[in-house]
Amino acid sequence: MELAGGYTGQILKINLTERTVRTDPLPKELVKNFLGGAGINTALAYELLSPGDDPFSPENHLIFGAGPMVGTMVPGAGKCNLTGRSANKRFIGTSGHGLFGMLKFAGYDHLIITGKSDSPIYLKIEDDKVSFCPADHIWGKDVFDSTDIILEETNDDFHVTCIGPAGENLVRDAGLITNKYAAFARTGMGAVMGSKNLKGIAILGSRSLGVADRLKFLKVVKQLYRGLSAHPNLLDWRKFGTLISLETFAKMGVYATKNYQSAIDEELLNIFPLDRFVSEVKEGDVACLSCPVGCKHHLRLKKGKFAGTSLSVSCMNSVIQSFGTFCLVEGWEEVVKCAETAARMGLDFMSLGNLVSFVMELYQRGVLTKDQTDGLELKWGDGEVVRELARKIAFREGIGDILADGFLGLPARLGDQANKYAMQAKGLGIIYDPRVRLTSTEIFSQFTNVRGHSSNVSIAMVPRTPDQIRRYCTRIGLPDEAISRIVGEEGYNVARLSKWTEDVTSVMELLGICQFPIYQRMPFKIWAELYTAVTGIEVTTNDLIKISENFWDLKRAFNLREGATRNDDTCPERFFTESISVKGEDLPPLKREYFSELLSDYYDERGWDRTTGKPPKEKLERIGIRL
Amino acid sequence: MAKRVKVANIENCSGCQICALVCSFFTSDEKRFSLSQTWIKVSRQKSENRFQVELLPQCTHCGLCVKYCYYGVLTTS
Repeated sequence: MELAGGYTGQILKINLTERTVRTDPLPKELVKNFLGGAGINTALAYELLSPGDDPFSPENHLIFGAGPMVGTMVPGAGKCNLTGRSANKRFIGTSGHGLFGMLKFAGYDHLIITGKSDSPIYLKIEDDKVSFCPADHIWGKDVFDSTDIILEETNDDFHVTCIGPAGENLVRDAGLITNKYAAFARTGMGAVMGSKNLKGIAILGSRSLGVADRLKFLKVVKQLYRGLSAHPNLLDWRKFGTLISLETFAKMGVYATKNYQSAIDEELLNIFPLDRFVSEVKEGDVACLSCPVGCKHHLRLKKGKFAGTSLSVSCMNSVIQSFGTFCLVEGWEEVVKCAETAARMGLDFMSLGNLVSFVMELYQRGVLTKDQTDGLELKWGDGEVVRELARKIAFREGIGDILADGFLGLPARLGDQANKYAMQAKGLGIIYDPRVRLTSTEIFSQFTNVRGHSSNVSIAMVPRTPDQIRRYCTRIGLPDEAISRIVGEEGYNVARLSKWTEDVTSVMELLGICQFPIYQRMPFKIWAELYTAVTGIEVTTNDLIKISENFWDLKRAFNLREGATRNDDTCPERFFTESISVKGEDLPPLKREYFSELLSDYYDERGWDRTTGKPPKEKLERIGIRL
Repeated sequence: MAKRVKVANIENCSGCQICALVCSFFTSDEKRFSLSQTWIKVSRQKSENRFQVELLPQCTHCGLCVKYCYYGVLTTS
């Protein structure tokens, strides 16, 4: 197998303990089985991480990866991933964003960091030159100030990803933030970085990247750009970003409030009017590398007590959810200020919102009292309290120290009574209410996804008819016998459908393409044509789906090796015992037997054992994995 | 009169760098993508994700960056 384009063919390996740097060739076998990006990251993690190790041991690895499309002009080809052992649990941890493509121009498909520095440092990577730069003077500073200092010490052309106080203090929900807004947010990779005494990475590349078949490449790329030009929602995607779905989701009632005690409907649009967001809060569009959509925002508050606040935000939907719906903070200025505090501290917005919402409920119920909250009144809707808790968590002060260990650390700190209200799966907070729409693959996958958190938004995030699902299945090339398993006359099986939507979006993730719906709507076969044109490696859509299956088998194998069982793929108890009122209608709790049956169906559709979720031995051995 | 590429609406720039990627690909003999071997440079303004775009003296004003800029930052006159 020749790597004629797309790949740089190199992995940069840095050991912080020994302060050594090495470059190794990218193994062709990994390309064949896992394609790139998060896929190869995970294969490397499976090989390099020893079962049972602590996430904060020097032996944990930070593995960055950029897929073969990253660095080209393919629209949306900016997606990069960071993989390692999750700080929340020993399971696989992974998170991605669209702004670390400089890795490719420095000459690498992957960057592996292991060991632990004996003092705080940041890494400066400029092509093949790697410097271990002292960071004592930055340690303790927030993400924005740290980024500025690193840029002053390097130059403004560098891209900088770094942690804030949360990562330094091993807060389990700490992330890395790149160029002050694009976050490797979930699964606590920021804490893993902090455990290595690594403050950040500044990277700049002067190398170039070729494609195997220029004529074919341009033919397909032009088709993609034409498709985007003709897309009726392109400008709305840019204007509103992920807020484009605010009204639809609010109408469905999937936005939970008060730690899933209640839900909010269209009223949300009065609290967060979209026209005000565009005219008074948003200053400009921000895009990931090579993205003509530009769904990120630069914000500047012009009025009120936070006038002058300015920051960029990737996902405004997560800002609304984390602070607005979860904690009932009202108004753009208040939630934007919460986002700024969280970003400066280097915290994952969603996890922070989940945790604060959780302690607000404990306070509401008297499980927590003012004596235990450092005198803070944890009132619903108090933005000042949210921001103070963010700061306390990041610096592990008082109540913040308890929350800094995340949902899985809570029983030991607050007792089992508190744990009852912890709305989490695999240590990560739940983001959408399954009682409202379990038929959404995104909502269902919150419980089956190997890392916790949902798989990507796909076709079933909004209600679909069986015919629509059938057409989707046909479009992605499913055989008739699979379609008949998924769709019937009356409806569809969300568990079985989830397997396929995950595989399709993962193909894009491994290639390095954004998985947002606007890109998902491109004809699926185009990605196979593009991969062949860029790399010179012949593949079909079926081959890509098989690689995606390998990726999911591998992630499952990683977790099984760490002791994962069926019990890890479950719902918080509240969803099985309490109903929820949405727009005046009482929606009943989930039925345990039905949920369990869906879980078995999901395992079955993946070709795993229906009871244990274990992939067959021979399937794993084909991709070089031994459990 | 030969056409000239101009930065017309800098406030629209999102920093996607497609202009630079397109420029490097179409103007290099080897047809390769780069963010440094390019005749158009996108820079962040100090401290914020607002951007500046500069056409370097080597720019041939071929207009391909204009074609692929979906934000209307560049124009041809």
